[in-house]
Amino acid sequence: MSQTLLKINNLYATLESDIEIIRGLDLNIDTGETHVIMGPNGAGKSTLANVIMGHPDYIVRSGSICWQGEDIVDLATNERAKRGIFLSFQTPEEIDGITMRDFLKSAKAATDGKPMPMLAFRKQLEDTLNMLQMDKAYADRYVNFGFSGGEKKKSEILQLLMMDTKLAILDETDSGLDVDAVKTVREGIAHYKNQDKDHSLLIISHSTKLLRDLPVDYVHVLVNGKIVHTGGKELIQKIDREGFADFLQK
Amino acid sequence: MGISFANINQLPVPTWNQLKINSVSLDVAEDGLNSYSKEAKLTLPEKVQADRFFVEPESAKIPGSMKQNYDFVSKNHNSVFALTIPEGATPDSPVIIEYSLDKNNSLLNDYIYIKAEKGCEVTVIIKYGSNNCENAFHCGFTFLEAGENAKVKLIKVQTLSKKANHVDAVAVWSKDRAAADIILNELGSERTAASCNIVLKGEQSSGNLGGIYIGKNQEEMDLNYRIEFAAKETEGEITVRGTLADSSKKTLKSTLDFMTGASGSKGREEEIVLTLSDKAVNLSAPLLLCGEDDVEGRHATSTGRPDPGKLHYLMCRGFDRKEAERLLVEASFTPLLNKIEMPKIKQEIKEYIGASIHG
Repeated sequence: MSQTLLKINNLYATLESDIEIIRGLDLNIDTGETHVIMGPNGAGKSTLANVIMGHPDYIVRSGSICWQGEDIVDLATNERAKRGIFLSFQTPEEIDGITMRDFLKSAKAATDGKPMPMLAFRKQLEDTLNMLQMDKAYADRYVNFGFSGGEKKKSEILQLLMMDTKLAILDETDSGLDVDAVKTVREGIAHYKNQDKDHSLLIISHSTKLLRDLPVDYVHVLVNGKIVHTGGKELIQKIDREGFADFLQK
Repeated sequence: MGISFANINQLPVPTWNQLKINSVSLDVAEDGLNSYSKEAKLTLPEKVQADRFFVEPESAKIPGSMKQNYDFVSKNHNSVFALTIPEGATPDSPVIIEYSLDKNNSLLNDYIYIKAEKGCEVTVIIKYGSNNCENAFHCGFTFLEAGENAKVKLIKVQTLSKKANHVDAVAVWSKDRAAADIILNELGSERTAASCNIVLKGEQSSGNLGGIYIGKNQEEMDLNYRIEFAAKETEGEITVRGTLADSSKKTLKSTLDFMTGASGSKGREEEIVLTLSDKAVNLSAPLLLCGEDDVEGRHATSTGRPDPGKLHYLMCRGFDRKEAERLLVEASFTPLLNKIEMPKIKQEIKEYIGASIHG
């Protein structure tokens, strides 16, 4: 039986400078569901992802963000991660000086509260690299350092698959990817869904190429910081054909 | 009774006095300190000779800025090593000298002379630590002569107690095509005045000076690093990575000094400092001195708080703020730590850094 994972109620959020970006947003994600948020540039899609993760540049002015019934607005970012929320960044940071292997090992220990046995970790890492068609050498490269745009996005999916998470927020994960990389990332996301039927997805995108073949439960159109329309997967084709003009007029 | 050092670590070219970086003075009360009388732990690979007598370098090879350090140690030394790595020798493990100061051995003045003969290849590690000993004093002088084509790596690791005073000097003299790689880890002590002077006397010789430091609590550090390019086609780099927390204060003077006749030489100096507190004070004085036209010298310094974007990224992966800061500090030290090929030593340093940052 599905349970409510994330419930956002009448959320208003601003940048530090008091620019209101999220304006009365409601969203409900149950376990196992896949939601897609689409919208024109500047609609507030990435801001929503950052607000859910508690980015310090954004301030929640009113409303609530509840995770499995707990209001997490005042929780530190790492505590949200520990509860199982994963954000795949639109522009992942480069951490020069820490290898992917050490980073993943430490991150898993930080979220799980205990280190994973070495052999099991090594096997999971190798299997996941194989699945994403990434060379084993990536494990010994510094986190995202010197990676191409596509490699960085694959690195985010690698982290998603390695960590024990419940909700993956994918912020423009398909941007800057070539056709082959989109296919690999799409397979990675499908694999995440197959790992556990309760795994949920919130996919933020303004293109449709990543969504092909992925089971989608709800598509939301975000305009000016508010969800103005919600539909099923058929909405993706409509937006592909007609753009956002209809929704902007509303 | 007390120990005094007046105006040591002098900047090669003085600047405004009010900046208070031209030199540093140190007064240490001797009360309660006990002379280091136990044996240092020595790990000696085959082919390396270790004697316990004082070998005096030619006076011209002692830099003027280190004269006071040398005079003090030559008069007051209580531990001496003279290491000889014979011509062509390539020992398969490092020479390790470990000092562990304790309540009954809390005052150490050590002199270490290293003669790396022609064509040899060696790593020397010198560790200064303390055990159950709040108050301690260390003054050291290490002289390294790298013969023709010799390759020498000298790693010093200082993790003295939080009330210790530490005065250290490393002088390096390189002959033709010699390569000296010096890595200085200043991780402990309440007050530190450390210096390193590399003279690239031989043609095509090279010297790399890597410095790692951590400042915490009320600690004060004065570091004076210099490479002298004294022959044709020499190459030298000073690379420093540091972290300052709490109310710590650090002054780094790093100088690339191109002498007349050093044509075709190249030098680079770079310091990156992460400050973890608004109360920490960082002073950096990079100098490029040039007495020769045909040389290339570059310098870069950057100081700042850990990148907020990187911190958020790490926190999104489950690390709390302190752990995220620790990771970024460790990451900034990685290029220098990677030069330390001994996993055990590298791990010890990493763990000490981690414990220091977590406070």
